[in-house]
Amino acid sequence: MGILSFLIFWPVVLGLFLLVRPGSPRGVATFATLGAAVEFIASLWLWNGFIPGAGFQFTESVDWIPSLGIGYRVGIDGISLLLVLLTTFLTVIAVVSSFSAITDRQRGYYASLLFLEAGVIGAFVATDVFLFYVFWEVMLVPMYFLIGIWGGKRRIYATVKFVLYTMAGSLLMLVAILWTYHYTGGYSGSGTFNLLDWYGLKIPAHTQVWLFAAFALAFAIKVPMFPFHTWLPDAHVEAPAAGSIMLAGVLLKLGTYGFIRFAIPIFPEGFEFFDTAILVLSVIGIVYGAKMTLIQDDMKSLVAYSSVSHLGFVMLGLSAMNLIGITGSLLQQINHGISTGALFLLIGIIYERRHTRMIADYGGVFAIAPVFTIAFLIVGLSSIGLPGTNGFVGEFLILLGAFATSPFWAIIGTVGIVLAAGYILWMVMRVFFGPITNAVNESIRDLTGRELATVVPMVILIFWIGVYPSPFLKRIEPDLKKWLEQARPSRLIDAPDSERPCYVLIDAPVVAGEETR
Amino acid sequence: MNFAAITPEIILTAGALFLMVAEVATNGKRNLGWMTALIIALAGWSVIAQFGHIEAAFGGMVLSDRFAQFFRIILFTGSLLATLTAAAAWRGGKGVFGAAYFPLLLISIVGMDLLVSGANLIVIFLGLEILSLPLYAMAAGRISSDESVEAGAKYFLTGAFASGFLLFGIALVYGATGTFALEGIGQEISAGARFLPFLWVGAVLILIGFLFKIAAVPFHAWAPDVYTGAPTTTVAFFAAAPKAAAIGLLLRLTLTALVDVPLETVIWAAAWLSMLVGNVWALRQRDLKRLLAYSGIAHVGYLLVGLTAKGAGSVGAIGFYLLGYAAMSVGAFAVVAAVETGKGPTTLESIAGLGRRRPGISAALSIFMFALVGIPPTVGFAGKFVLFSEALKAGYLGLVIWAVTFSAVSVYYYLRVVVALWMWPEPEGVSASAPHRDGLYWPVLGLASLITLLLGVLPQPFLKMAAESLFWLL
Repeated sequence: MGILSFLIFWPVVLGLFLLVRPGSPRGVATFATLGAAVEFIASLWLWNGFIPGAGFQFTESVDWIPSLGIGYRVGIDGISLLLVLLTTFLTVIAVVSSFSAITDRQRGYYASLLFLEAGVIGAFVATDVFLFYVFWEVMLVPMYFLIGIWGGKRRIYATVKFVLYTMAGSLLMLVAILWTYHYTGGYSGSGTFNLLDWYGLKIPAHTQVWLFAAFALAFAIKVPMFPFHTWLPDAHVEAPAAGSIMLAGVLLKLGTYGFIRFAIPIFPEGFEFFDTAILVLSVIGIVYGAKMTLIQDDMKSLVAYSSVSHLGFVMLGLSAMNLIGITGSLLQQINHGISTGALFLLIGIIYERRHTRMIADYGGVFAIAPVFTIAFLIVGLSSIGLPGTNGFVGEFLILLGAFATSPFWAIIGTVGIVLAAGYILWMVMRVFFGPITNAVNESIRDLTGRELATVVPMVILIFWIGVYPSPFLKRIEPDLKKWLEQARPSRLIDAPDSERPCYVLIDAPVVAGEETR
Repeated sequence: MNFAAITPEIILTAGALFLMVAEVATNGKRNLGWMTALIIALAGWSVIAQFGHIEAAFGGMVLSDRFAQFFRIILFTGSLLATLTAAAAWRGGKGVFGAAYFPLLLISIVGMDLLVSGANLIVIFLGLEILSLPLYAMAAGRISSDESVEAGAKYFLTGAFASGFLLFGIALVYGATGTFALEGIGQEISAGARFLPFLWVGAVLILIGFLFKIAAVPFHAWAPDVYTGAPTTTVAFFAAAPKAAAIGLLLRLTLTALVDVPLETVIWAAAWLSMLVGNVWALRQRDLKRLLAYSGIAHVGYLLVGLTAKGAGSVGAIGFYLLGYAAMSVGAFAVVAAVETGKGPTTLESIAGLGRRRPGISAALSIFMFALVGIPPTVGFAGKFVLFSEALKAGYLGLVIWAVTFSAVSVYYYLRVVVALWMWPEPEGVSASAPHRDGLYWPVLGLASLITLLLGVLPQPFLKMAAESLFWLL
């Protein structure tokens, strides 16, 4: 068994064991933490052994349903490496952050988190389209329970909406998958679900448009792109804090990952047809999401709408279809996972103390909980994209790439950054500064040791990627270059100098000067 | 006389006679359910032992080919699960089980068996009647309950009606081709039948007769009432087994006898309507048995999608789906049987918060619900996957899109059951230690869950067997 199979099945085994194992709830939490930590450490092996630009690595391939051309095929390349690491990392954080928040039915809770992790990792590493679809659907089940059992007041509404939206999108994708499968077999019966074979297909352009649309609908709902985003604020607001961390941190990335791994390279001409639409919708998403945050009085729904805005950036970078834009897009996915995950983590911590997320209920928290405030400020600034934090690198690359192909929309997109500064800082101001308006808040405890242990690693990552992103960029860029050759429609070839690796660009002193501009 | 072709029938009939005597001898005080399950398992074993040997009997009227053996395995699996449910629900000879319940059940299986192994329209009609008559009695099994008697009467009336259609259709087909033998009919049609309108009308009438039996729209109206009124154990039985038998027969009929008869349009329309009506009406049901009745109608729609496709692969896909459907639906009914109190219907409210009190059966019901939705890694997903794949291969893109659209609709009502189990608060005044007999249901729930998950994760061996045993039929 390879390392990737271990990463998929270890959480499953662990989760099943948690469900049947006798013992105290406290024991369950410790056990889950240890298991998730083992998983994370095992995933670091991938980081060490990864060879940039060598295509799919750590591959495993076993026949599963050979009569239908289905195999258990897994592997990672530069596109999925960081996403897998992000998943294992955030799961540890999510598990640890739940110690005191979850007091009911702990077994099921931690088992669900672990099953979720398994499903997400499976979807990220699958190189067989059937296998991907299986994991894509499987992960709905634990998330459904996480929101529905351990969520807030309107949890049932939110969880059913979440599942219905996702299922509605993905079933049409299933039809498209089946259609393409029969296309690979030329209707003679020997079709295959092997992704690498699908990359070589020459499907007629007008058919690609339909197939791409079916895939894109499923992924656009998951991202979520405007106007398919309405499930997200509900799901976020009602989910328990750890559920929100996983949802924002990794589940949404599956949508953007789906575009990069499946929809665009398999149907490049279909993408060409929809490229402008995606571009416009992502810019609308950026501005609309940012605008909506301004009228939210619940911190969680504020961050949820900011997710819509940030993922608009990710899609903007994708639609630029040049190396810089797409690299920025991929890096920004990681950044968003860390920053927004950390925001949800911190909101969860303060919610545990005061049982309210309403901005109006707070004020002057800085004086009571200074460490908490500083952590929140750092995370918030990284979400805005302040230079020196991870958010800046991603957004900068995305806008650079987008500007090369469509300056007009890139400029409108920057409005989102301005608004982001507004809504985050305004929230920080209302919650943490000013006079203490609510006497109850004086009893708020500052971060405990366990909570610090979850927050500090995220802050470290924020600065690491912000100051020295090249270890990350080096690993993702060579594969993206190859990806572009596969995926780029003929008309979008741009100037050769923009093909320079981005990490060179950022390390170079001249551009570094630009950064601080 | 070649008795090898009807070994399972002989075992089942002998078993039925033995049980009748045993019933009298024990004065109805012993639970004969487990014994019945054993007899069915024995009959199933005889099929597996014979698997691959083609036997014909009664001058070619009964044909035990691989197709028949394959469908017998499906039938016996469904029946075994239903019998285990009935055995678990047995309550000291009172109510449902006062009558000769288990012998009737075995005789009904004999009828289904004949249906899938019949190679002659007369045998097929005989099979249908042998299958139906015990079911009417079983539907009315709870004599003290008005609903149950009403269900029996309704089922009987519509069943008789369907038999009428079928007989008339058989007569017309005979008139057009001059033979009852399926193979002969096929040859006549290929050679150019003379009375084409007779043949077509006859074929459509036969089809309608069976559409009644499987409760496809627009011949479904009896199903919800009968499902609600009849005893749950009976419903578990006829949700799975007769459907499998009737669909198996339809497959053989359309592929060997009524070749070149354009029945696809009728099947296509019935599929289209069944998915619509079943799924949409299920949305507003709160009674679990009614909900499962409409869900059954919807699943018949999915099966008819495969029947429309009409290809080598689709036969295997249908068989696979039927086996999976037997496990998930009988499993779900078994849970209903376990939680029903006998006082009033079993509604969503009555299972509210059950996950806390009885996590075992709640987990089982959740598995079946996710399987009925079609979420991997359950057989519900694998089954829909192969069915829709075959339909798409045959070019029915619109039908497949329709099917997945209503699969998405079905998410709502299936998951509402899961919501009730785990997310609704428990009703007031329910003690955590209220007595129940869930332990008795472990055989059926365990077996059904095992099939649901195992066939979902590792469908290959079964799909391979299906493909091999059915390929030559064409």
